[in-house]
Parts: sequence; structure tokens; C-alpha cells
Amino acid sequence: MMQHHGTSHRRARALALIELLIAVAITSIVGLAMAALMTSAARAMSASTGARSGLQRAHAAYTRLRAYTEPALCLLQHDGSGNFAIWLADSVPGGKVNLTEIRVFWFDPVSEEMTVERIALPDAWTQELKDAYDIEVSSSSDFLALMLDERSRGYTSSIAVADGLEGLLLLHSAASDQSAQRFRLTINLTTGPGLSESILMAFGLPQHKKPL
Amino acid sequence: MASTLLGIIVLAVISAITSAQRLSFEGQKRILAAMTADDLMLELVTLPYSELLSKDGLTQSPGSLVTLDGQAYPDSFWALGRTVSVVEATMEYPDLEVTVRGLRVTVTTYDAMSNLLSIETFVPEPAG
Repeated sequence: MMQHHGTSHRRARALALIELLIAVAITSIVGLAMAALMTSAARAMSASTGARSGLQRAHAAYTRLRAYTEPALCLLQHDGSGNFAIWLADSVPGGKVNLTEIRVFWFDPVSEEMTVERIALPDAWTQELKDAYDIEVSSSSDFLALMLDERSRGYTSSIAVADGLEGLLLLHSAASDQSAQRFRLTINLTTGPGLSESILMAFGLPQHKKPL
Repeated sequence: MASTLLGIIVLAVISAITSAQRLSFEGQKRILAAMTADDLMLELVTLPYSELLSKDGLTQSPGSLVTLDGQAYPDSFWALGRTVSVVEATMEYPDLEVTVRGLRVTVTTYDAMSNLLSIETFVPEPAG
């Protein structure tokens, strides 16, 4: 009788151990599942935050670009690598492009940045000297090379328009750059490690006119 | 008891994550909606005044956005559609005793559920 009672007690303890082991196993599985769920959720949130941040950057770039394109008169030139020049205004009247009226947008695929460059003559110069330097430029000029030339002389300044750009392509449907009243920029935005998003921006030139 | 608690916790976590994702997606959609509405308005105002009225009723359903020149928008814009309204209107300036005739152009961006935003501009009739 005593022996039977002892065996039964050992069985009960053994059952408790098995129960404990099963409980630990279930808890581990649930814990792992929760960890996997949280990891994937964190990854999704991170991707989503990256995408939203990318879109906010795109919208900021769009707004900055519009500040140039809305008053602009003409798309002067683009080179197929994301670089383009616009005629911002005919501030020296005459219907021709003057140096200071040009803005060149550069896309640097290495730094993934887009910048806008303009002629900036030294403050020390007199207004007469500045006016004399601000010559008229032929409408068939290579405006991008011209800006590079001025840069080499130290007479330009640049500001950033957008960053985190993997690629940039300018397209229009007109016969020539200078005839285009509308153009599009397709940009690929970096939104996270190994992630990018494609955005299309359309621009219009309501004041469009070709330079003489 | 433990299983119920675990279930509730998992559901709560999933629900919180889903809500956050939905809000994030809505935010992204609003940014893109603003951009696409501005895009179309910028393109429309480059058209000759005489052509503008013909764009009244132009509708691009969600997922089929194209520029006025026919370039399709990338997949990021899949949830958005847009519509154009162009109506004749006048603007009164009582102080100057001037009335300007023109067209009121409205671009509305929408998704499958509702309108997201509208922008409007007045294009005056050219003199002459």
C-alpha cells in the first residue's frame, strides 16, 4: 500500500515536469512568434517611415523647383543626364538671355544631390562692372558649359534643391527644349537601404517664350 | 486563460501596427495627391485659353494617371485619380468697377473612397 502510494506520487511529479516542459516549449514558440512579428512590423514601419520621408523630400524639392519654373520663360537646354538650364526671367529687357538670367540645375549621381547654380558676381564690383559683365548670350549656346566656365572663374553660387536622388530624367514632348511649354522630371528617390521610389513631377511654363 | 491573454496581446499589437501603417499610407497618399493636383494645374495653365474649356470633365481614374502629354505616372501613384472642371466665371472688383471674364479651373484628386483635395485657379480671358 505504502509502495503504491510512493509510485503514484512519483508519477504525479513526473507529470508536473512534463507539463512544465510543454509550457516552456509553448511559451518559447509564442515568444519567437511574437519576436518575429515585432521584427517584421518594425521593418515594415521603418520602410514606411523611409517612404514617407522620401515623399516629403520629393514634395520639398517639387516646391523649390516650382519656385523657379513658374516664373521661368523657357527651358533652354537639357543633356539627358538630369542636368538642365532654364531662362528664369527677362530681367534685362530685350528678349535675349543674359548671363544672370540663367539657372542651371545639376544632378550629381555620386552625392545623389540636385543643385541649382547661378551667376554671382563679386560684391566688390560696381554695378556698372556687373552690368557690363552680364552679357547677352546666343539662344543656341551651350548653357551648361557656359555655367561651368563661369564656375571655373569663381563667379557662380549654388544651393541644394534635393538630396537622396538615385536618378533623374527630364522629358518633354516638344520638338526642341526651347519649344517645350511643359516638361516632366522622373526621379528615383532613396527611401531606405536598398529601397527606392519613383516619382513623376510635371512642370509648366505659363509665361513661356523663346529667346531671340 | 494564458492563451486568451496571449491572443488579446497579439491582436492588440497587430491592430496597433495596422492602424499605424494605414495612417502612414494615408499621409503618403495626401502628399502625392497634392503633387498630382498641382502637376495637372501647372500643365493646364500652359494651354491656350481657347483649348482650356475642352478639358472640362477630364477624368483619370485611380491607377491611370497620365500627364497632359501622355506620360503615365509610376506605380507610386496607383491609389489616386483626378478630375478637372472648367467653367466660365467672372470676377468682380467693385472698388475698381471692373469685371473680369475668365475660366475657373478646378482640379480634384480622389481615391477609391472619397475626394482628397481640390485646388482652383482663375484664368482671365486674354485681352483683344
